[in-house]
Amino acid sequence: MTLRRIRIIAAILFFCAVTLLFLDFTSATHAWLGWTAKVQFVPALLAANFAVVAGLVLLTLIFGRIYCSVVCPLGVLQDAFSRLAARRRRNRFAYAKALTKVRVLFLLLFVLALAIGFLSAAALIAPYSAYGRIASNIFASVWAAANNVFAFFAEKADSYALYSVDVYFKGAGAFMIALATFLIVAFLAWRGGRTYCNTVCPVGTVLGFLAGYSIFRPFIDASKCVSCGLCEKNCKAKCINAGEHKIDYSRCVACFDCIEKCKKGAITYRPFFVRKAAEEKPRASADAARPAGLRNLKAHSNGRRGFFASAFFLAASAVSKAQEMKLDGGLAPIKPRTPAKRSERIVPPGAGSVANFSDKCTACHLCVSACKTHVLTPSVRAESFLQPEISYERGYCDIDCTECSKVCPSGAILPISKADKVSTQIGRAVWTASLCVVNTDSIQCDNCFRQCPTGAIQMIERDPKGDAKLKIPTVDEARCIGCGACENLCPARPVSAIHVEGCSVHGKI
Amino acid sequence: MSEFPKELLNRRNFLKNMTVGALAAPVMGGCSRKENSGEPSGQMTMRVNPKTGQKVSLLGYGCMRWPSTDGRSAREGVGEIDQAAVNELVDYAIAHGVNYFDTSPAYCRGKSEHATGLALSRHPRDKYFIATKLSNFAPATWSREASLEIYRNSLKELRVDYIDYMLLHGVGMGGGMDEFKSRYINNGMLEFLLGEREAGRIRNLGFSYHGDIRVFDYLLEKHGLYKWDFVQIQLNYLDWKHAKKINERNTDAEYLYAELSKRDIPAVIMEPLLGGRLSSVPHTIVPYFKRRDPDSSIASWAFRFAGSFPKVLTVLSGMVKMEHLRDNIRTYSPLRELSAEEFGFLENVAEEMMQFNTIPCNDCKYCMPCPYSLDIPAILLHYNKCLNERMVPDSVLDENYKRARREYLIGYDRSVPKLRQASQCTGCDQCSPHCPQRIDIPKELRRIDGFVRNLRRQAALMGDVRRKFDEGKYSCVIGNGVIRTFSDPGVDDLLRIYRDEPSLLKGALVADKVVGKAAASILIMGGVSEVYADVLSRPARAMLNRARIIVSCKTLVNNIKNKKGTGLCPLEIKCKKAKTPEECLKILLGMR
Repeated sequence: MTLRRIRIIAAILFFCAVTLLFLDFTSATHAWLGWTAKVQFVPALLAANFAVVAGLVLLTLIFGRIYCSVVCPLGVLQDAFSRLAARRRRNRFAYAKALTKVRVLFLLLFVLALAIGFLSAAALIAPYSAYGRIASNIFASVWAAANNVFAFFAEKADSYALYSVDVYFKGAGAFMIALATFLIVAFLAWRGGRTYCNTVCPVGTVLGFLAGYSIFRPFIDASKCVSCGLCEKNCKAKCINAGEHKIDYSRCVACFDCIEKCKKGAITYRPFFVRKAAEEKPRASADAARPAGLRNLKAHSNGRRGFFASAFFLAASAVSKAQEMKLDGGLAPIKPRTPAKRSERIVPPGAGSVANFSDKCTACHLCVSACKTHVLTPSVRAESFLQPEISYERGYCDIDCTECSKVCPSGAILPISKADKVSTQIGRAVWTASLCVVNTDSIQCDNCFRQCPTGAIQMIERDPKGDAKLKIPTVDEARCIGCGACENLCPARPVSAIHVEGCSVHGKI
Repeated sequence: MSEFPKELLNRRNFLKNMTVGALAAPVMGGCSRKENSGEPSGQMTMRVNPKTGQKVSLLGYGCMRWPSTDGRSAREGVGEIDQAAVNELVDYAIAHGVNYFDTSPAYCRGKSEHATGLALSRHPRDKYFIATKLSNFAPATWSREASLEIYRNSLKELRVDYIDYMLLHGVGMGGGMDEFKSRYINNGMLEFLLGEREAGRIRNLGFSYHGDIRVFDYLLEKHGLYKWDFVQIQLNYLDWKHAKKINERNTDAEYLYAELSKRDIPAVIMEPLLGGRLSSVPHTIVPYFKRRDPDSSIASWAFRFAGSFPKVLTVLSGMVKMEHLRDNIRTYSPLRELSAEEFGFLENVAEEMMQFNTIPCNDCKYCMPCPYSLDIPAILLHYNKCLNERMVPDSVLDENYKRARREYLIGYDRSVPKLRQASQCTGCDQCSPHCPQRIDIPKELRRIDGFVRNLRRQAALMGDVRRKFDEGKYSCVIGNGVIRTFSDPGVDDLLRIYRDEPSLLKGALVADKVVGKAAASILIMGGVSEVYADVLSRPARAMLNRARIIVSCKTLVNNIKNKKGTGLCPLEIKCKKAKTPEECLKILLGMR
């Protein structure tokens, strides 16, 4: 088995594992494959998971940018497209000079975005989260739709092996960004191989810098080389200068394609200190720029978020009057619901606070994919664009579920036990008298009271002095955990009469 | 999902058998029934109307469930009635001797009369009898003018100048006697209808009865005055003796029929199948029927039951599909009356079915549309379907149990869209007054919602409880948010919890070593939602089933033995006579 084979197999396995994480709506694989997301560079850095970061640095210092060719799903995705293009046009690459200034610029912008806590911007070019959004917003929908087709036939066959799941648009903004990323990356890979990795990607730049000092590297043995240029024409990183027998290690992603392409066995992958007799010393001539001083990437919160206080709800009372029934049968139409306007966003239990979530979340949307009740959706707020937040139009936060905290690779949602979760206040319910069906329809509804898992809602007389027949809900803020059962199951349309306001710092009840 | 999933399934299997039979026919010569060559015509059992002397077919066509163009029943809201299919059904029915057609201005969202009239008007007027009703349910139609309008409209929609059988619709429903008087007495409508009968525009006058027995008794008392020509009642082998057990506010058909019989009033039978519940019977009961008569459908037994009473004029069936119609024609062409032995058999079946304690929903959809968009019948029927299928005899072991849970939840989402499920119920209670079976709909919906929520939680929680229990160190493990363990033998622990910490039992998941009647009654009264027992007694299981608590066990026994195994457990002896959990609990609490 050649090195290249091993690399390809490993990359496919890794890629499938990460992708499956996003596709699996049953959460069955999360426990087994969750680590594949946790070893991604940027999330590990944000999670302050220094063991992983150190491991990746070490890996790169020993073997070069194995990370880029095996671990990074966006990198592997590009290889896939590059390979497709190679079928049409063989030997299509040629050595190009490194765009060092552009690389450094993107890296600086990335670090700056992290430093000021504007993660939404940083997340745009971070490779793993860019891939995550593609997987979550595009691949997962396709997967779910395919599942539904099979589930349809399963239903016809009276089988319960498959069930259908909701396929829904997670958000226009997030979808467009994911689609744009996908198209750009695919286009770049089709045209020029690893252009994205060696121009835009901040992780690529950092690892590229380290790779310049790696122990194992491919070397061209000038004595064997016949300058046929096959290696250069097949280098998707465009980093081999065959004429000069030189390789730019800052851009080499250790794919080993060149080794296999070389018919003369002139390229070997070996430690730099194991020298062969008639061989040039390539290191000194490597012409790659070495961006330095980029280590201090750790993000600091400076609380720059503006809290746009705007606590108003649409006062449209649109619940129709209970109709008089004369004829039997028929189904009343389901009226659409519009999201409540929340002055503070709701972030999942385990996040601790909105500030922490905001500073750690790379917007990979793995939690969005993992959320079984579909409460996590990409934010459309300016200050947290793309980062997930909780909204209760499709469901509510199941008190027995901690999936999002299990999968989050970046420490934005820290692992939390079920016992802790049920006592964590992520928001508190607020009741709006003018929307409640008890007032608008004059019927006795107590659904929020019945559905509340913590007993935070009680029913009290609406008119204590008059005839105390109708009762209205009242929320005990101290017991409410903000799960949203009341909001989700409230019959008022289009806006629920009871909605959850996020807590900027999560509390304990 | 179509409206009687289970029923259709049964019928499908039935048809499959039919096909096999047909294929086998040439080989087997004359011994197979000629299923595909059509039903016998001219052999339909006819009953004579004592007043008019006219012959009425024993099979009456209920026009409440006409098929719609989208393949479902037309009551379900989306599609229009499939007139071509209606015509085909009506033609087929008339060709095979069916001549009684029962409709109402309310059926199929108000479109049944039109469709029925259209189909029937293609036949000579003397070939069929039309029954329709004065369905002035809504208070807005209680005025004389509005009621008259409904009546006149019926004549117009049905394209006739006289009605053969006219009914006061659903007397005893909703507000009982008061509502009856508002609908028919105070506005003079009953007087008017009597006048129409005099004038010959109504040939027979009667009423259909649901609910409050006082109205039924009152109207029969006045028989001398009103001279009812017929009365429509609900009769089937479950309601014969068990109607009251199913719902306290209902009355056994045995009584209703006897009262009519006493006065020589012909009975028209509705709900011979209990809305499909007697054609889709619990899994374990199917073999009883098939052993006796493998060729006959399960539904045919219910029709034979209803038809075997001599004072029955006709038995109504709301046949949506051709195969329903054909099966029923077969059953009544001619009727094979039940023998005394078969009658006893059906009574035993009824007895056994009562153990399943399904919700008595007939899918009549009078409760619909729910103003908050719920699909009430679909929710109740799915629950019934699962009750029927889950309760396999003896031990419900772990694997089965998990599967059942999964199937319930997946099936629930398939049968009822999320936004029409029980979780959306506001409890406004606008539905209950319309229910002819007098189901407390909000209560049932809330119970089902609780049940579903528990199922969703239990997948995780019951596993924890069972794991703890399987460590083997405890006599009882209770999970309810927290997991608590108990080690004392007997029911002392449970009794103490019931008295001192009732909140621990409410909705809890319980695993216990031994559950007899004593423990079961404490668990039921404590409101637990799921029970697992290493050893479970049959009476205890029946009790838990009746309370609609999910129960599973390793070993099922007839009764619990004492510790030495020499005789009955002392608690079993004490509770032997007690029938309900309340009585049991009273005895247990009295002991201390």
